[in-house]
Amino acid sequence: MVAALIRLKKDLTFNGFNRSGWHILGTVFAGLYGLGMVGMVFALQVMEGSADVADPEFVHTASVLMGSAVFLLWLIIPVFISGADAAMNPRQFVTFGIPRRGLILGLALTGLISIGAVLTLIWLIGQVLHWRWDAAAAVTAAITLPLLLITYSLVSQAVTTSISAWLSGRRSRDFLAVLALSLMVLLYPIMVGLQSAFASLADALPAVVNFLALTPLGAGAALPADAAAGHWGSFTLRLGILAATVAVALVVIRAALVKITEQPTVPSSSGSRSAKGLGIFARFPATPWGAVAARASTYWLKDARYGGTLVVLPALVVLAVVMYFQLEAPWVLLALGPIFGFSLGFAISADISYDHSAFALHITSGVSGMADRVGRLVGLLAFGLPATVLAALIPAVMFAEPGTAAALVGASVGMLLSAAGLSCLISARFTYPVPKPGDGPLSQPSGSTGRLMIVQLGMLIATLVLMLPEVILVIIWMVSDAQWLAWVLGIGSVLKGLALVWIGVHLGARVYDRSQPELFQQVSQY
Amino acid sequence: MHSASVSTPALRLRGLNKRFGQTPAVEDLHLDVPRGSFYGFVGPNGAGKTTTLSMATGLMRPDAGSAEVVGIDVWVQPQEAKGSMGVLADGVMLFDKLTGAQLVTYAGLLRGMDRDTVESRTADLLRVLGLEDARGRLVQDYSAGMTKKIALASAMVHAPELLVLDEPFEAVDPVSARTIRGLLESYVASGGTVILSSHVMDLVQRMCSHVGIIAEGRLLASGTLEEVRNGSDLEARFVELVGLEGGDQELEWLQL
Repeated sequence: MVAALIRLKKDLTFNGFNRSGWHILGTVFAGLYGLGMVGMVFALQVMEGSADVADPEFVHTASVLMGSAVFLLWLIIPVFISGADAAMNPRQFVTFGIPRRGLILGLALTGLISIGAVLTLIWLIGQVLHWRWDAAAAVTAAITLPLLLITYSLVSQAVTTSISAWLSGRRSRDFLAVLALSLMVLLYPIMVGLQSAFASLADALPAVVNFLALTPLGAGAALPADAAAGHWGSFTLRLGILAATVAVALVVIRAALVKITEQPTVPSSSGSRSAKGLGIFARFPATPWGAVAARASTYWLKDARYGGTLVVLPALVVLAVVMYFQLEAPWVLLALGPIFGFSLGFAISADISYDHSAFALHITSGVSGMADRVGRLVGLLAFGLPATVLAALIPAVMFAEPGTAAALVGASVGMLLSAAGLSCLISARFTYPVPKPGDGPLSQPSGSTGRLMIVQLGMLIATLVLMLPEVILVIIWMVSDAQWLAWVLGIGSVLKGLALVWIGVHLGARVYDRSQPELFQQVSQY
Repeated sequence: MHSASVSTPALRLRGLNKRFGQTPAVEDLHLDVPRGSFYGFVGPNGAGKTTTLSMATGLMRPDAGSAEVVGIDVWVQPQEAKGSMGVLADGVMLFDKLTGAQLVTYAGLLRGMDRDTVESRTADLLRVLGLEDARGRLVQDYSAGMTKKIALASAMVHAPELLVLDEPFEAVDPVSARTIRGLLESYVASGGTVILSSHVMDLVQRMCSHVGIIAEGRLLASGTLEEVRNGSDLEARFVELVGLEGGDQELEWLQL
């Protein structure tokens, strides 16, 4: 049974490659990126582990911190890709009546057939080399290597299976993903808060490391240190912690599987409240573009994939405020306006991809390219423009002179318009894969990660080129210190943004009118 | 509305061709759907029904051939042709984060209709289709039958001359199917034209005035129901044209 599951995972992985060259390219990129990161760590581990330079305290600290980070990654990543690895979702096996023991073992082992597992294995081998200056420690690291790998896989599987069992509802999954996203953005303020509790980072480190080493996160990675120092008491304690972690993971997986196989839930249909009127549709003009704008606005509020973008922005504000108090540098707050403009402007660069095959309605209704482009743009600007202006204006009024404030607001709005104009063309001409309707904002789009990366890279380069005039103006302004240049920058930026919007909408509309069916066939495959 | 004469077919497909890579999906397909007819387009799975209808509705560009709706070429004057046609595509999603009423309103406004007309027609359609109670619920929470009905309402809100419906009865419960059928029959009786694809022969035989049979991308027979049936049962005729698969072989180990 276990062998069959492993074969299945192997087949699924390789069949995925057959689908498109982009998929292979994306996987190779991701693998190379990971390999580069792990390669650097590995090199450090090898260097620091040489007998003449080894500092037991440093090696201990580094091991525990890295070990905790790796554990955390195995714990968190399943939350992000809960939709992507649907092929090995335990729910799929409900009808086969597989013995539970075999299923648990099989799922845990198939978790090891992944890029992440290979990278972890490299890191674990690095750990053995890291401790090679002490025989007992190196032997411990080598012996615990498979144990740790299995533990990571089991914990990861426990998270996946629990999500599938108890959080399979769309709403809870979206909530989880948004929570994880906010946590990532807020990681810095949290660290700052922790740090301020101690006098300095260096003082805090031993306490943090000792704490982590007594939790499941760092216990495994701290074992060689105990062996090196001969602390066999704490060695046994940590081994116990590790065993308990494995036991808990197994119990959780088992309970989740019982829930999945023995009490399958039927998706309930009575989830939504009933709305009376037509909502936003009543507020936009009764024209094709007005309807598109109303629909887009409705989706900004109701679709978690769009909501994901909106949640990050307030989180960024919190981040900037914390950084401001930390660094006492107003520029972090002044940067908010342009960042809002940039993120919101690009938020519609995949608008048609997000529609997926529902885009058919636009085609069969004969919506003109102009109405489609303008509608989506208005749907964004209706709230994006006020948000960007506020994000730029509030800090500017607090910290800057009128001239600088005008430049900042102008540049932010210009940024929003330029990016939105570019998006109007990109979303019709260069579509890229996005999460499907109904999936969470962070679930991985199926296939062609390569295309996604290339389009986004091209987008970034195009923005940089398009923002060049502003950058040059800012430099001249800084050098010459002439106030009137600030006004030129502000007004010029807005005018340039308007021009780009005009060009983007017209080019986008032309592409849309010419290649509707091709566009539809493409986005309905994502 | 249009000056085309009554003899112009509601839908005329001429020499449609489509290949996917090396595989031909539709080959040299000619088809006339007369005005006022209730046309059943039948064929086994993968025969090219959806591909053909997609080329007729502007969702897929044909490699060769033309499609005309009431005399207007879909690929030459797309806006005009699409204005006379209502489409229910198979296997496509709906904008399901809208409520039922919002979705039909959206479809109407996209067609450039004014707000009052859209509002009153939406109310009428929801009433006739029995969706009044669900008008404020999100379409993603609808059942399969309700989803088909709301998609049908979106396709009909602009009172088109031709309705192109791809598998309108798939996964629909008998009650909803009856409602849909009633609505379509009164639409045809009032002068509208319907072409629908299906693989339920019984249903086509009961509802349709005309039938076209497609298999492996080719039209095998077309005409009025009587002509195609040729005295026998439609299902028998269908199997005769398309051929049986696997014959009448039995699985020995499945004899309990």
